[in-house]
Amino acid sequence: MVSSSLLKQFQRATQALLGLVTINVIFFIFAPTYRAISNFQTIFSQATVLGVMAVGTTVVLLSAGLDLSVGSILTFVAVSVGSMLNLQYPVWLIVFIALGIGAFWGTVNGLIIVITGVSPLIVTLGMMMILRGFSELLGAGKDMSSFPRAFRALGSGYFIPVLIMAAAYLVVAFMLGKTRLGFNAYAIGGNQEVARLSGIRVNKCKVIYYAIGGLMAGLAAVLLTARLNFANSTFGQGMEMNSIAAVVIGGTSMSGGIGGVGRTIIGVLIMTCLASGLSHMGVGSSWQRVSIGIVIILAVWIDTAQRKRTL
Amino acid sequence: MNQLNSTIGAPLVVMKGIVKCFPGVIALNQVDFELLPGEVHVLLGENGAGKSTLIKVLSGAFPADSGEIFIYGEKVVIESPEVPLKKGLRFIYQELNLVPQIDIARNIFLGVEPLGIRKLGIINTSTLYKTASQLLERFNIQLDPHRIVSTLSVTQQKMVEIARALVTDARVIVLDEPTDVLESTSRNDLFKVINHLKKEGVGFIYISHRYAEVYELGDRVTILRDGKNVGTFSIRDLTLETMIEKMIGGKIGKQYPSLPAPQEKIILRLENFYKGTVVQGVDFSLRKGELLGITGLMGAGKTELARAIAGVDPPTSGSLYIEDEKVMVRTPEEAIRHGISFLTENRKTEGLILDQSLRNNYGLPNINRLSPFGMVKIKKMNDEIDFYMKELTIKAPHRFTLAGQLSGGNQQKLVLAKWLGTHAKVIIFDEPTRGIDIIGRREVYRIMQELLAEGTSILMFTSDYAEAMEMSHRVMVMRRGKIVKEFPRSSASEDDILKAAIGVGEFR
Repeated sequence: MVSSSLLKQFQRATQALLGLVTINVIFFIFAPTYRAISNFQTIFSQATVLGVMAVGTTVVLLSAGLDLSVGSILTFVAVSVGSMLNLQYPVWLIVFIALGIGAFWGTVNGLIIVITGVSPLIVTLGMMMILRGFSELLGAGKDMSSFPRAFRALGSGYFIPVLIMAAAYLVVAFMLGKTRLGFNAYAIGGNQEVARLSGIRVNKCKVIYYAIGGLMAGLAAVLLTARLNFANSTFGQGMEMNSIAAVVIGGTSMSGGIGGVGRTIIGVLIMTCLASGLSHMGVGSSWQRVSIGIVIILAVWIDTAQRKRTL
Repeated sequence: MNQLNSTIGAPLVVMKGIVKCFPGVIALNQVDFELLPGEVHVLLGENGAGKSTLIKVLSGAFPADSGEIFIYGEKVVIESPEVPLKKGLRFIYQELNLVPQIDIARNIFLGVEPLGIRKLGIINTSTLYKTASQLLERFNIQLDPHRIVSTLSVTQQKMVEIARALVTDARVIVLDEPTDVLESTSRNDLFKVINHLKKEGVGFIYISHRYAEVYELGDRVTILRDGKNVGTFSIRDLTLETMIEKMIGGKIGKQYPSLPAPQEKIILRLENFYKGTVVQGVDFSLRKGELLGITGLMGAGKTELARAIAGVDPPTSGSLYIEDEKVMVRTPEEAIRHGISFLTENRKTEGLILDQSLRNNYGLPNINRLSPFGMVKIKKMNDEIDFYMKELTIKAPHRFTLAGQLSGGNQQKLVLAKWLGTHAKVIIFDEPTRGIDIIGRREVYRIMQELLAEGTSILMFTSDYAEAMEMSHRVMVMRRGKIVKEFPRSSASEDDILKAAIGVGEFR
């Protein structure tokens, strides 16, 4: 029985990995240009923005929360960063402020949810619109491009962005696996009332998880603006959905308590490889969306079916 | 095996050679079972003996690995829960299965095509509420069918659920510990209904841990042990002693242990405790190593008092002293910090995270202690849960087993383990043995005894009067939010407690 249940845990963690390997095998066979090393460098650098955002989303979903506003937070931070760069602020300060703004909006989300008791879906939906509006106001009529080299370096190529993403994953993986804050995320996601009755400060923790989600959106904004070398208020639309999709494809439960960032990185790679592979096969962007949609449903279906079997 | 002469007719349900295996366990091993019309057939066995598994096979929750099932003499393959439902089998489980957000009447008629109420998909609401209230009257339940289920107490919800099972023409009703959450008065109402339906030829499969009930209600009993059928007997031919011995496969000892004498020092004192209108000025003190039992009818304010002391639903007013120091307890976190632990009556919904591991469940209230600088001492946590698994004999393959896979008794022990880890001064138990079999109860009592010997104080809220009387140094009876009577250990009968709880012999 020991071995069989350990095997099951292993199976759950590797299921998404198997999916990733499978689609890569398919593209290796059917899309010759996909195989090039340079293509993988592109995939990795593309994956970093989504990857960083999804790491924050993982924390929020694990604690049975939901944040639809991270895409708008990204926009807001990108526009702020663009404005600050035009004002010639030092790069390190800009990055610091960007993360701070992201964390700030996350905290606002968390506080509203905790204080009003309105569901996270509604609060962050509202915040998504609010921040989109603010971003437009802030970015209106401004030319935000041609950033200094020191800033662009953060997002160009694949080495530095991947390094930054890896750091984000390691920090959050450590947080989830080894710290009180991380254990509490699983507890609150598993059953909030049990957690509360066990003396866990549920509200305080929740605000921190939303702050982490916002902070990661801020970091993603830095990577994206640095890579594209411009910013505007249409950035990041729909990113929150991609982020949730990546987390869920990885195998973290939408209802909380089950999952982790290790799975999310696989989910992110599945989404990025799928998009890249399909375009190398000449599939248009509309059909790419259709395929990703199918993959989301499939992945969660398989995950749910397996979970039922283990119980 | 004895056949019952009073019952006539072909069996309603026959299960033959049922086998069901789970990874590493044979839950059912060639079990035969038979239910005749008009009988109450009791299913007995320890937690984990296979009773629930057998019922789940019959209900279609999961298929048997092998074996045959006949309903009304016809062989059926139960591949989904719809099959037995269509055949007129009804299942009432330990856990509540109602939709809390909608009212009583709609819950009663939920999903069934009831008595021509739905014509053309339009629900005749006036008939619906009228039929519902007639049904409730049959049980003597004084409840408005318009009331939303979430506003009802657990007992009331159970009654609604039983009413729901009876709304359609049920021929077989399976009751899994239905009275565990019921007061003795509503229990009697339930028995009346069962006896009435028996005469109409309805067969009952009845799972209960209350032996008195088995004799009061049962016709035949089938005893399961370790997934095997030990035998089917006529209740009249079976003494309580043989019944229990067959269940546990050995001799039985004393039910309630002796309690070590409490010390002089007062640990916890309550002054003028109020909670809304439900708790109306409660004062008492609890000494070190003392077990104080608090009992009363449903709605007397027991659970509310327990939750107020534990900071779960903080009191409206009143003071709480721990070792003569006045403390504020507004949240569970503060309660734990002041040395008060609270084991709720709903272990599945409020005590454990069922789809997480034993280890993580253990960690819940201990996480602050185990992570002094925010970093969790994982090895220490693992060692501690391993220790308690051994100490409390929690039957689980290892610490990463999911809590939901444990039997009821083992779940309760896990809840205990998690709170023992906090080394509290006062442990509050709300209905500590609800849904737990005789062996499990003894183990809970033994743990309580050890805790008392170590100087821990216990507040036990229970609606089991025998337990209150035999397991407490003192018993206090609550009525309408007040403590109305106090008895020293073993000085009163269940009847005396009931009288105090109802308020017999007093002016109203």
